[in-house]
Amino acid sequence: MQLSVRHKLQNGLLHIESAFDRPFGSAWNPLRQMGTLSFFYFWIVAATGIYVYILFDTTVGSAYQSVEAMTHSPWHLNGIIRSLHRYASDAMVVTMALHLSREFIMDRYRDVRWFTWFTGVPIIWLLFISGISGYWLVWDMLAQYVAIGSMEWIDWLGIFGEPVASNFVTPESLTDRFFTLLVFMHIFGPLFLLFVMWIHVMRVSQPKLNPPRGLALGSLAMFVVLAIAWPATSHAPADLAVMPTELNLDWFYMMLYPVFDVWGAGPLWILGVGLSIIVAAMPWLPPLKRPKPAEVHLEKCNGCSRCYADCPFGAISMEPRSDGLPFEREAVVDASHCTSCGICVGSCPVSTPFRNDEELVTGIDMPDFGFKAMRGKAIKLAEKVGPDGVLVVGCDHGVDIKSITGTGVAGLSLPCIGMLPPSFIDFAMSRGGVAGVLITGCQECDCFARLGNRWIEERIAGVRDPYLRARVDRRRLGVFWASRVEQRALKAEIERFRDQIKALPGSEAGT
Amino acid sequence: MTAMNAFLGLSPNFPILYIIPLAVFGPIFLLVLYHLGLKEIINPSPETRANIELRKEEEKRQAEDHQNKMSKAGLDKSGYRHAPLQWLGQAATYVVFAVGIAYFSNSPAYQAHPSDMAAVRLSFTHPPQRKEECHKRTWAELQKLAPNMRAPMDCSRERWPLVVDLSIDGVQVFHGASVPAGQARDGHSSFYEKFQVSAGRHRVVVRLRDRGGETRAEYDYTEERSVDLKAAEILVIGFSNASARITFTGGAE
Ligand code: HEM
Ligand code: SF4
Ligand code: SF4
Repeated sequence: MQLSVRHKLQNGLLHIESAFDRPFGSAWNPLRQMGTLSFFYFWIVAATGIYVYILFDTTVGSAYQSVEAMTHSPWHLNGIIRSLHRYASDAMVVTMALHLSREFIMDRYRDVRWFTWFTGVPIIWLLFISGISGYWLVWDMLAQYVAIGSMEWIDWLGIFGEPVASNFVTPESLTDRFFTLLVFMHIFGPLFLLFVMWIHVMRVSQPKLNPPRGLALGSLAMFVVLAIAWPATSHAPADLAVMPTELNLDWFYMMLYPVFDVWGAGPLWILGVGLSIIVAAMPWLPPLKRPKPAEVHLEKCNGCSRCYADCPFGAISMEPRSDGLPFEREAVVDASHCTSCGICVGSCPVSTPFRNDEELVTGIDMPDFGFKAMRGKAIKLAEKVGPDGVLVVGCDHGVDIKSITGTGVAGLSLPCIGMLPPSFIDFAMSRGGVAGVLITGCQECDCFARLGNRWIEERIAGVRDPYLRARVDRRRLGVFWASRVEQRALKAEIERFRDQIKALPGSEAGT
Repeated sequence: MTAMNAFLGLSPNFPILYIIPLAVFGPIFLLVLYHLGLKEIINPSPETRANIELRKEEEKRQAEDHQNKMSKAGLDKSGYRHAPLQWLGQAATYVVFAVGIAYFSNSPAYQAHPSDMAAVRLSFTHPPQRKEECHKRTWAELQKLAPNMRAPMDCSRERWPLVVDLSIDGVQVFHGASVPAGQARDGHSSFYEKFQVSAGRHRVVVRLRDRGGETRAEYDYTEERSVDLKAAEILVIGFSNASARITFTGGAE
């Protein structure tokens, strides 16, 4: 039941992403780049923040004026920087929210991925602390409202001897020293945020931190135009003798302040902490059932470290030889990091299907659906489709491979397309006798196992070990990425591919 | 800070206390960094420079090779060119995103406080009286204590809770007690409360009891005031520990 809801959400999301593919192309699709965009926006905020800070006066009396001076600076230049600082921060809330929703919907947070998800939770808090503390510094009516609200909220905990909010009771009670403390919050908050962002991707092997250039330039241009067209402004200067009345809240950061006004501090603490605990615990509830982790067969492993280089989850380490074979190292799998994606099977040079059945042991293999089973299935399928047929090799996360089989087309589905050793393509054509092989799987930049579709492309092109042999006729090999909901596009591609093969000299229709 | 500034003949606002340590330890820190490897970055030796050159060339060659091979296999995406209509679609996406950000960054407006209402804020920190005065222990009391605990004076540091009562125009709007801070309840009691009142003239009576908690009926401090509050204006009720009086800030008499 619960699974089917998630499945529907996934399909909905994939449809939306498919629509975004049209203008952006799959490599630039912003919906698949929410994490990298968040990083990029952070850099914009950091760079403009340093600039703005230089122009900022950290005393209560002059802070407001110094910010006003930026907004009304000649050529508007400082005002643009200020606006960039604000809008990129706002955008970060959006990209972060989309990023985390996407990881959730696509089920990329459980099991081995718990660390990345778990460390995402403090990021949410730190982003809000950073953004909200930034609004204090302007020291206008909005700052007054938000600062007092924040302090009243913190005071509910009763951890300070006297209420912190009492620093804001009269104009005299707010000292420069206390105001400096607020400034420090806005410097250390973002620094700490960056630190946790770094921890967040620490366990991701070869993390992608920068968005594609097109998206980076596109959003930078967007911010600049926005900053010129709609510059950020302040409210009237803060006056602690009066209540702030009508305010133009920044809803990205302040949506909870109206809730605070109605509910009070206690319920909001319960909501915030409770929700954080639930979100942080999500990787473990409900537990994910997954196939057994990869296993190394030492007698076949020569310590070449290709699996180590390819594992998208850093689950493999190369360690000193333990079995006396004359190699320096051997691969060792850390089961607690392994997602059972099978990519390492495709990396291992020993995974060649050109052997007898008895010898079909490779250096690293999946216990549940392994190399031998894969070969057996491929042979059966090749027999089924016959010499004119096409073998489509796909993955469990892309288009349902069963749905595209028909006369002359057979489909083999792997946990991840990266599990396919390139020699298999050669094998299917030369021994299996199929007329062509079409590789498919998750859309570009959206491999469920992160890197599988990239690795197979590079293996085919001969830039990543193990290479696809040169003798394989490239005209009989196709690569087409399609998300689960892009079934029609894949079917059309299969038709096109079959026509291409038929037209080749040597094939029945061609001669 | 000011003494140091005066001694050096600097303006009192000059942050000399921050600058001296910075001036002393900053260069030392930089020097250490320099020898730890900054040198090679700022002023690389010819060897390092040659190495960097080589590495750059190698990287470039590899990148080119990578791209050549990928494009030969028909898998190179760097050749992907967007059609004019696609650029238009992207621009439209950015416009929607930008308008969304700009709009919600300051709209819709929120009424944080009704514009025709004033406010009263009760905020102060005050140490209530001790629950017990110190008393000299009798000989019998001393005998009951362990030999090393036999201090002649018995001083419980615990203080009474502070009780505050606020009425506006004859209506009690707040009555509460605040337990002193600290494990031993020997610190200050604090109040921080806010109320909305209509703008205009109000009769405010504040009473405070710092001895006896709720066991007594009479109050130790009482202050009564008629104040005229403008819309959004805040009347702050405090307590001056120096003059031992309830204070009013804001509002016209
Ligand atoms: C400003 C905030 C954030 C930034 C900049 C950020 C950035 C990133 C980046 C760069 C990756 C690696 C992408 C890759 O190479 O595969 C990533 C992965 C991930 N993030 Fe975030 N993230 C942020 C917030 C969050 C939050 C709040 C959550 C959830 C609570 C979250 C959950 C995840 C998960 C589960 C992954 C793992 C994906 C995988 O292993 O396939 N992130 N994030
Ligand atoms: S199955 Fe995937 S996650 Fe596990 S070791 Fe192999 S490549 Fe790494
Ligand atoms: S790729 Fe195969 S042979 Fe190479 S280290 Fe890994 S298991 Fe061993």
